[in-house]
Amino acid sequence: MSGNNKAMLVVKGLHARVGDVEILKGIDLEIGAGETHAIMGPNGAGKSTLANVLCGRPGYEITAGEVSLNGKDLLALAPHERAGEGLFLGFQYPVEIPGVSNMNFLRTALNSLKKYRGEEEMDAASFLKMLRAAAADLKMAPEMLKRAVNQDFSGGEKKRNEMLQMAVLDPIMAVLDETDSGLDIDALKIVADGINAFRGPEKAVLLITHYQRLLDYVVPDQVHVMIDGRIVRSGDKELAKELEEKGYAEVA
Amino acid sequence: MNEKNQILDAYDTAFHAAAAGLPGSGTDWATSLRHDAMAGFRASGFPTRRDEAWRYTNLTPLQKRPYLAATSANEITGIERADLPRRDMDGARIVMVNGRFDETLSDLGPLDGSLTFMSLARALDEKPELVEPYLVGETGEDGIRRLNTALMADGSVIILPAGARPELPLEILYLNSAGENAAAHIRNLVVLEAGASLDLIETCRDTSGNGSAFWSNIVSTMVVGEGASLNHHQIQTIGSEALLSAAANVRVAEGGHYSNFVLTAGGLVTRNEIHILLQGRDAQATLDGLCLARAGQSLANVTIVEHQSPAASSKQRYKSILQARASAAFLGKVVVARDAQHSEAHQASDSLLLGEGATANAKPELLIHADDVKCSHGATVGALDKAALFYLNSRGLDPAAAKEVLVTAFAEEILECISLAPWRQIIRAEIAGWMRDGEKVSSQ
Repeated sequence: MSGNNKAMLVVKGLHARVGDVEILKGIDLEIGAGETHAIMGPNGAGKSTLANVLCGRPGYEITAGEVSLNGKDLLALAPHERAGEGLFLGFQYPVEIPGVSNMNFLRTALNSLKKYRGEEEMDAASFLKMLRAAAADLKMAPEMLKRAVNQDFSGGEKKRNEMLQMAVLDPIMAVLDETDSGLDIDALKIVADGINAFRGPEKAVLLITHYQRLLDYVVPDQVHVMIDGRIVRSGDKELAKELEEKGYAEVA
Repeated sequence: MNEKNQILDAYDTAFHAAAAGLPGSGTDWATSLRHDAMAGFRASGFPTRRDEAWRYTNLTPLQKRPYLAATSANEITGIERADLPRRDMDGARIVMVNGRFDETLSDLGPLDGSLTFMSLARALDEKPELVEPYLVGETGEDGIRRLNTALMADGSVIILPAGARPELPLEILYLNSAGENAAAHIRNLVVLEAGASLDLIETCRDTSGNGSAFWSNIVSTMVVGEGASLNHHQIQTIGSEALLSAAANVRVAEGGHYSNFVLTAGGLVTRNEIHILLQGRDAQATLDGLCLARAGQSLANVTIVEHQSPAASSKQRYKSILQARASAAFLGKVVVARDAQHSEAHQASDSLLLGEGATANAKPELLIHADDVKCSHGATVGALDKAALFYLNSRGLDPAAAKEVLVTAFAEEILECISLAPWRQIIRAEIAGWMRDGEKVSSQ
């Protein structure tokens, strides 16, 4: 399914359920280094479940299948260890954390990742410099760094904050769950710029989205259509346009 | 004869044996005050869980055996200067060992020149007229306070004249080294005349480290004059078998402000009770507290705030963090009198349950007799937010680090209100220490 690039994320025959309800019914997906893939599909297709299962959110039972990142078995790892291996989840609904400043949160997170990787922690001054630059790239006001994580942020600010985290934590594989939802056109462009800036030969991106709109700005290498827990069709960026015109029922 | 009577008799006998040697025994009013209080205690006994205000206080240890004030003034306590907790702030320190003022361990040098300090024992013996107006008629509303009045052996008398505003805080440090089932009955008197201002710190600690079953029973009368400001900071980290009952009766005159922050992080049973009368127009009370409770501990904050004059305001915020099988309670009563119009009273209590079998009780009670007032109260009890934990995990924080971040954030909100910056750092360090110890306990 992937092009000629080295496979980074490999998902094979993944089945998952919540309680008695099977939601993922055999997902196969391979994303190579340098690639951006998009998964589109109607509500209830299992797109967010896939994102959550990849990142190890509790509450899902994996009944079959494998997931690896650069050859490492992700399913055997706890969520923080998956982050340590370079996986990042952009949340559909970023969580508010009162009492924890954005800045401290990011520094603690970055140093946790560095500790996991056996790297040296970043000193406060270098961190602050890097954080300010990343925030400026996303056109975030410096005072947003001092505020509690996502608390009283607008929908657009929360999504921008997810992009800031992605920029600072610098993962290798980003799974972005409806990062475009709830954004006006200006915010959408800023978020898209953030994703494009992240892309690179050693990075991979999985975009999960309802709409083709984001894909005008972040052009994917592959598009997958997911319906009822399965990927039913894959193609290039033209598939997204076809979906937008004809709807899921006809394309699938 | 049943167990209850045997215990009450033990106190009665101990009192009569000790009465002649207690401070103030040469003064008639003091002697009759003590005897009346003892008779009252003998009749009422200790409060029970049937008393609404004591429902959430574990009284079992007091009902099982007598805690007798075994120490006398000249007993060697075995505590030396090197044993004292490190000072993180400048200012004078009054040290009370086993309920008695210890001049050699105290550090009175930095005491502000405007401030009068005298031990209660000395005041009762040498200057009874100084303390008489604040003690007579104050036998106490319950058995525990009555016992305090009957047996009070020492304490601090602190008086600030009008306009005096010492820059440095004044600390009272309570240490216990006496044996099992000993007790200290301490009575303090803090008077701030008009326009005076003081940062008062009370620290209760267990230095013995052996966690003996010691009962500290501290009753304080605090008078905040017109436009005066008393910032009262308390830190309570007594041993795992120790009991602490601390009660403050506070009167605030026109434009005066009483603020209190209490950190409670120890003891088998700790109960703080603050009864405030906002007597003058624009009088203010700000009460904040944080309880950190471990398995088997029972910690409670009990407040009664009476708005007696117009435009008085009170603001209360109490939080507790409970490990498995710990118990914490907040009982807050606000009474607004009929002519206390334009009063403002706000009260909030939040509890965070970290383990199985933790119990948090919140009992807000508002009795409002005036019609033009702003009053609010709210109480929450909950566990750590699972969505927030996963969010932190997904960013690379391991489960223990994520938990620490969220618990610290929960506590941090209440630390913002502490005006004394070094004190805020001390409290932060206490919380961090408690969390680390908690991890050790829970991972064993």
